[in-house]
Amino acid sequence: MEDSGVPGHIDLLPMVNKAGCECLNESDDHPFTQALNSAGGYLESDTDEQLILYLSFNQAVKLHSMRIKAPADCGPKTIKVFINQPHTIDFDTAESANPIQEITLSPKDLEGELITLKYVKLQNVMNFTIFIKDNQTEAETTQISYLQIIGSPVQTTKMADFKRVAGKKGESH
Amino acid sequence: MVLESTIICVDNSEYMRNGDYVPTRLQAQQDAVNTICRFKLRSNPENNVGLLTLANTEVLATLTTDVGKILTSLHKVMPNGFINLLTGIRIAHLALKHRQSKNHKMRIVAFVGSPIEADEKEIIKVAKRLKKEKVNIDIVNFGETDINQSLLEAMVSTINGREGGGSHLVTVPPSPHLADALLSSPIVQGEDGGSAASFATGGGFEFGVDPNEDPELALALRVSMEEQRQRQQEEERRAAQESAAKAPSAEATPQPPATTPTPQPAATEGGQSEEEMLQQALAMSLEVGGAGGSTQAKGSTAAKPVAAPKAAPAAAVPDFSAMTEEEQIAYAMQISMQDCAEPKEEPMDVDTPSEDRGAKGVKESSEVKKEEEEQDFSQVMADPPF
Repeated sequence: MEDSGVPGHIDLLPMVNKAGCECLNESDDHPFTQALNSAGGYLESDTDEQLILYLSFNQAVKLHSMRIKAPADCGPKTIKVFINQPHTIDFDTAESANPIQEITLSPKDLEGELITLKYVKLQNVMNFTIFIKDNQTEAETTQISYLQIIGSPVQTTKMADFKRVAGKKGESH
Repeated sequence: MVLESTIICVDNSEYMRNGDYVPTRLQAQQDAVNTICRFKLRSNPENNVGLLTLANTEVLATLTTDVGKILTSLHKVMPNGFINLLTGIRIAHLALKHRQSKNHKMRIVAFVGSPIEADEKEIIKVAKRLKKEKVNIDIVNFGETDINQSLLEAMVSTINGREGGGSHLVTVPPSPHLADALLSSPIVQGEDGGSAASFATGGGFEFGVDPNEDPELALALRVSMEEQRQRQQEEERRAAQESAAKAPSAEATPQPPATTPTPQPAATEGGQSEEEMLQQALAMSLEVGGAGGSTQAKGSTAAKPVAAPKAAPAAAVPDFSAMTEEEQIAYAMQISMQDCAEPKEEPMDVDTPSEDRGAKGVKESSEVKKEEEEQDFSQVMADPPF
């Protein structure tokens, strides 16, 4: 597993349920999936600079921070973060709704700096929506070459996975 | 099938009084809306359908699963004014945005039967907006097809993008059955391409024949349809080349290879002479066809008159580009029927097209073969007992 660079937290990519993810306004040639791995490719917006990314996790997670790598000129600037939406929100809703957190990114952040999220508000996240409102230089399209979400699963061990070796339930040794 | 909310936009401008679609354009639309509603609701019981008019842009029925509600409001629609397509689409989008079941995909089905008076830029803008929000749109272009075609094509291709998508443009020429024409269109086919046949109660099949009942006939029909299409393209290409070379090809007499002026005699000798041979072969076959002109005229359901042998070669064969699709199908059927009736022709006719298809790389040889076939057809047509 890739090192997250944050003690006690991991890169949550393995817990992202790819089938449940959606991206609005992604271009045909550079879809969402290209931003989820660090090996080449990028996500690009299509008709204008806005993007909505909808990530769903296959178990409840706590989010600590994220990293965005993007070109300095057409990387995202203002982003809004929503969690646990029952469905992908549309652009009008995203503009008007009250986000968990609104972040303004500087070009320096786009080099892969750690962007901390409001950890206390993100203790039980099933899905995570990022609305990218505009980009650094008001370029025609927005690009993201890599997106990393850092956090930890709520249940680090699933007790249900353990099987009793010997004896009965409630029996003492 | 996909979960979908659909808003159907009907055109209720004054143009809908026109009777070119029987009985009127408006009533033809009512049938078509009925067909689409039923199809959408049958493909998934949770699907919703809404109704909107384009002339006064009013939502007549919000999203519902009740076809009766849609039809009741649709029957009250009167022709009035001019359409406002872009506003209509925006309102449809808004209505879709406020759908109750947000997990549904959004789709707009718009009937356009009167001239769109909108700027192409505006249309592209609206299309991009729809694409951004992943709204699919199906457009039925009927009535004023020629004027609207390019604008609507631009719109649908913008929404589809390069990869292609779930949006469709269907152009329906004047015919008694607008609804039937839609049955074989992608609008009612769904994403998996099937389920329209089972939905249709007869009449909905391609060529009007159930392919399951007689697979051989269906194959023959499809094959001859394909041949026809290829031949048409061939002809268009040749016409374009001729006009480019400014060759005096309008003369009726078959031209010997030497008479055609060849601008680049040495360099493109091979390609040019090939073309000429094709031309010659075509002209010869046309003359044979022209001799049996009456037979051909009787056989062909096309309205195009078959000209005398002395006329220009293009006129001897029915002008396919001027025919509607219906007529082309009819013509293709005619030819393939004749093939079936003529037993000695059959093996060859069934074999060659598959070869044609297989050997797309070896295009030249298949071209020559096609010419031979054409000659065969005209001989069959000229056959008096036929």
